[in-house]
Amino acid sequence: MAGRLREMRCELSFLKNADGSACFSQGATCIWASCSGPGDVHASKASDEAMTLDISYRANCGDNKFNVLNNIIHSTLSNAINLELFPHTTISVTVHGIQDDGSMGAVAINGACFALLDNGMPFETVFCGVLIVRVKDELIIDPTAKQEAASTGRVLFSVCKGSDGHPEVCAMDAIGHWDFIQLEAAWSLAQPSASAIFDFYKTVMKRKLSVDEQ
Amino acid sequence: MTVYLPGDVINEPSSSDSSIIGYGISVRGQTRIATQPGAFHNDDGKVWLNVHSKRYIPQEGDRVIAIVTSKTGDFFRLDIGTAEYAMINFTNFEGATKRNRPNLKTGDIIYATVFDTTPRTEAELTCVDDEKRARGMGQLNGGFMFKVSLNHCRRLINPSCKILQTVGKFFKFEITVGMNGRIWISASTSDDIIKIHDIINKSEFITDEDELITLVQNNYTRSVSD
Repeated sequence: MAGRLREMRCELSFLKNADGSACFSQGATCIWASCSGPGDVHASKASDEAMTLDISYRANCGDNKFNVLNNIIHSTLSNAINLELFPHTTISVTVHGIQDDGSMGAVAINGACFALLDNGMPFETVFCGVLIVRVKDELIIDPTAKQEAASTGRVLFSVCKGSDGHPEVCAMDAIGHWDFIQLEAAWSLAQPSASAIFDFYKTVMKRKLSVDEQ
Repeated sequence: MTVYLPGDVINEPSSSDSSIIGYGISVRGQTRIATQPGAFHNDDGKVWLNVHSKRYIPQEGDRVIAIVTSKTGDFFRLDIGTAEYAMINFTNFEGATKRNRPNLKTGDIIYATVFDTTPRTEAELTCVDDEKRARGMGQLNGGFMFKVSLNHCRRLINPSCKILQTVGKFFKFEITVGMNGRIWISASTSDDIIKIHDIINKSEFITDEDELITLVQNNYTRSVSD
């Protein structure tokens, strides 16, 4: 299983009330993501110079308080969206974890990007998430929940497509002890998967936009 | 058909002479970059992406359907589906003067043109053209208003689109399509309005003409109360 992504599936525009929505799964891990905006913002949160990001990740159990995934999704969206295009507005991105079989962080980032693509608002670059774990000195990409539980280290890469079309790290979150050589090996392993996810984005958007072919 | 995602470099057409850069594309130096996901279109020196979206961003010259939400002095505040309310002055109606004001109440629907937008202020609308004629703009009375996606609205007002022509062969109706995703229809009976509404909603993903005719025929013969 090392070095290969599980099967990805995606359905777009399935929530009627959201401007953009996506149901995305990798293997047995499934999330629902929605993206609404640019919309109205309360005066206390409004910024005269930039759009306000309202990011919320919600697990399917427990309360809906702050989740650590909010941070990396917020960082990624701040990098991907030109926030100055729509000052005095807000964009709401909500990710619900429906089923967790590992790699929830990566799947949440991918779902957020799909919701943004479905919304259709302007942004600078596509992004995706790749989770790599270390189990007994072996690196595993897109781990299942069992592999994640057995791991001694985890690193979640948030990858943007650079201006030359190659993947670039734009945010990362590491747990456990990682030295530089191991991180470099993990990044080498993550890059082909990031390119595969970018190709999947293209495939899904081509299917969505096929109604224009006439 | 070529699909571009945000960040992709657009290289076609190879000759960049006299190109007008349209929706969804931005220019960085000599390079054209897609900023929105869409299908690439190219026509007579113009390039643009056809973006599928539901959220309206005001553009000057768009015809939109607005809902009156309040009145503030000389201005009416209008909901056009954007982050900020839009505004219209009472003098921007046909024949309106200080002695002859338009009679608009909260909840009324009007069809107007966006004539001023800046990112930091509200959009300004008008119901008259440069010669102070309405040209079909103004208040819409009766009928039924509903929301569809923006790309479906653009498709409906395309002269080569068959949807409204086919519906027109079966129903007698009046329709206003706003660029902000709102459609207003009026017909002689409520049943007809319901049927036309269903046809327009369901035709969004239909590209085959025979399938479209079947959809319209089925709705024409069906009974709404079932």
